[in-house]
Amino acid sequence: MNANEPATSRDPVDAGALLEQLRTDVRARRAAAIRDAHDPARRALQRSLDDIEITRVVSAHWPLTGRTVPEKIIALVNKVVRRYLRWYINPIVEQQNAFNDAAARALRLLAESYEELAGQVALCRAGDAENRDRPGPATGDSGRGEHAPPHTNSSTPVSWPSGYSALMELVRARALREPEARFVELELHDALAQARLHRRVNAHWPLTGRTLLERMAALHNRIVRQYLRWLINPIVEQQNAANDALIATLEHLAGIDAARRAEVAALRARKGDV
Amino acid sequence: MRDTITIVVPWFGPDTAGGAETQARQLAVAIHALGEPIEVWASNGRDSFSAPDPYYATGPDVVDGVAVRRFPITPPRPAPHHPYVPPAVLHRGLPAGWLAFPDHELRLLASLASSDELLEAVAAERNQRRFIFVPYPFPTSFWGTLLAGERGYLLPCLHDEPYARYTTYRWMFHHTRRALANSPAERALALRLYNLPPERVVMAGEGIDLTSRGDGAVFRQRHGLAGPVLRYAGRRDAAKNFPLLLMYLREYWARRGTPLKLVLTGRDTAEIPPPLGAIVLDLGDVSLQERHDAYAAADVFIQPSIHESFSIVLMESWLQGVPALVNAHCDVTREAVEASGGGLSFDGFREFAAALDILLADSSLRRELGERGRAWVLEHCRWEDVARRTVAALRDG
Repeated sequence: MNANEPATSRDPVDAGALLEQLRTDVRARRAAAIRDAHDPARRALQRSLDDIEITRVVSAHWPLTGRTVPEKIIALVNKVVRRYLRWYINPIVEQQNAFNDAAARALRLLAESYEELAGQVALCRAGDAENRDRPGPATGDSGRGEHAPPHTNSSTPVSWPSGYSALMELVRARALREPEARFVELELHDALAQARLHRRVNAHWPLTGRTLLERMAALHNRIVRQYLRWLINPIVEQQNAANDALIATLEHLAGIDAARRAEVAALRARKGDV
Repeated sequence: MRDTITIVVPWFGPDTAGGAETQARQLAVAIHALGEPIEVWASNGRDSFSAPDPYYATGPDVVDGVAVRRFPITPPRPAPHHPYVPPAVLHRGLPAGWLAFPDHELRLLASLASSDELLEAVAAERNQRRFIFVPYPFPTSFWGTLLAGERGYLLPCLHDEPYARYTTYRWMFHHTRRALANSPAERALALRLYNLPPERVVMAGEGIDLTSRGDGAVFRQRHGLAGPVLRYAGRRDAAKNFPLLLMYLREYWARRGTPLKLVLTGRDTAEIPPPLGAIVLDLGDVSLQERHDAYAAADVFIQPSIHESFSIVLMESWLQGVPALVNAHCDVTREAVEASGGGLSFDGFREFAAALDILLADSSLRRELGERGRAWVLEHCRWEDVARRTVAALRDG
């Protein structure tokens, strides 16, 4: 069987090649684990990501207490004011939390993506080192089950099953032999889309009511909000500017990540061509 | 005297892009060819890829022999604006249950391009016409079905997407006289989502121009293509799973080293990392003939989208005898591939790679599958048949 012939579900598995790939993979991962354990930048990044996880949720309901009687009275008044204003403050905080959640997720995924990419580069290097030590041409892989291109423009004398169902059975059987791939970018796309959706915190959502009582309450709240806008609007605007900047940064990082992935893919493809 | 069949679509014209818009245009021509009185109403905007500004002249026009009337576009009102109710509806009363529609659903409607004057005309001329509203999410369809009442039909181009579950659209499907489905899977989706009686959703189908002939050899020569050629056509956004296709293809290329080329055509742009230039040939907006040549040059047509009600591009590629690889999570395209035998489907990267291996490995298999797809298109996608079923659904219903 030549390299251009498609494998069928009855093909014998090349156990030697498979074991060799597994060994290369394990060696590369072990090397990566040792490198990571001694890399202060990676440890610092992990600590920062943990900090984001701890601090990303903003709360408008921290404890209000006092030790002395005047402090207790002030705390009680503050509690009443906070309770009175929660219709106004809580939605703003919730909007910011929704953004923080998506942005934090995007950052974690970027870090994961970076790690995964570093792993791919390490596997390429491990493959290079092995190939240098080995006589003959490289087999063109990065230790991940890669193999020669199957395409042929000529009609190869192969008997294929006829019909969609039978062909799909063959596809599924061959897919089981294909190493799994994780596409962190897809999750990153989702997280960025969510972050974009929540980037603008709005302090002026419609205040309406359906019953007379609700409409009166809404009118009252509109007046209070109108008065308090000197206080709240600048805070929201500053936060929105920060959200915009963070989104722009995340998008640039995602773009760089996509470009690096494409570069590594090109490198892997070239190695496969050898 | 027969009522004039009036297709209402947000945009319509020779420079208008989009699947539903293309369908509206070809359906209008096919109904016209049957000798039925037909007119198309649209805003004077260009299409969903362009700014919501006037592009065509307002007033009467003729496109492909079909009478067209264009009305001034009403620009979208994105958040934080309040929900918007067109004057034509305000003057005639809001639908019962109006208060039950969630704010965000009404805001979505307000955020899409419409035409207040078009809606006013629907209300004013409803007794002389039968309206087909295309596609489902737009205010022209939502408010139009409300104003047309028993004379309103929907050609929804329904996708299984979150919006399809909105109460506004459920209401619309229940208040339109009949919906016309492009495919059995779309019909099943409408019946399932909205719990409609079976006779309320009719399988009218969709057609394509069956006369197109592409020249693959000339295309390959013109663009210096030697190895495997893959083809994608359609919007390059996440809704169509275009990023997923690029990622899968990048990984496949990295693993196999195959010197493949993905040929893209279309007006919208996509950010493609420069190193992927080795496997992506983006031709942008090309002539119709060049588009068909590109189909004919392909070894495999890939349709990764799960949001399809028919997939014109899949049928166009089959017409050129090219086998397809479609997303198994899209009932519409997967069922078409199952029924025709014109390709394979994939569920995840591993099946994508395995299916592509099989398709790229043997040109005789590709030819056989491509021919099956072509035969299926020739049998099922004749516009004349679609137009007859559509007219029957309107006249009988």
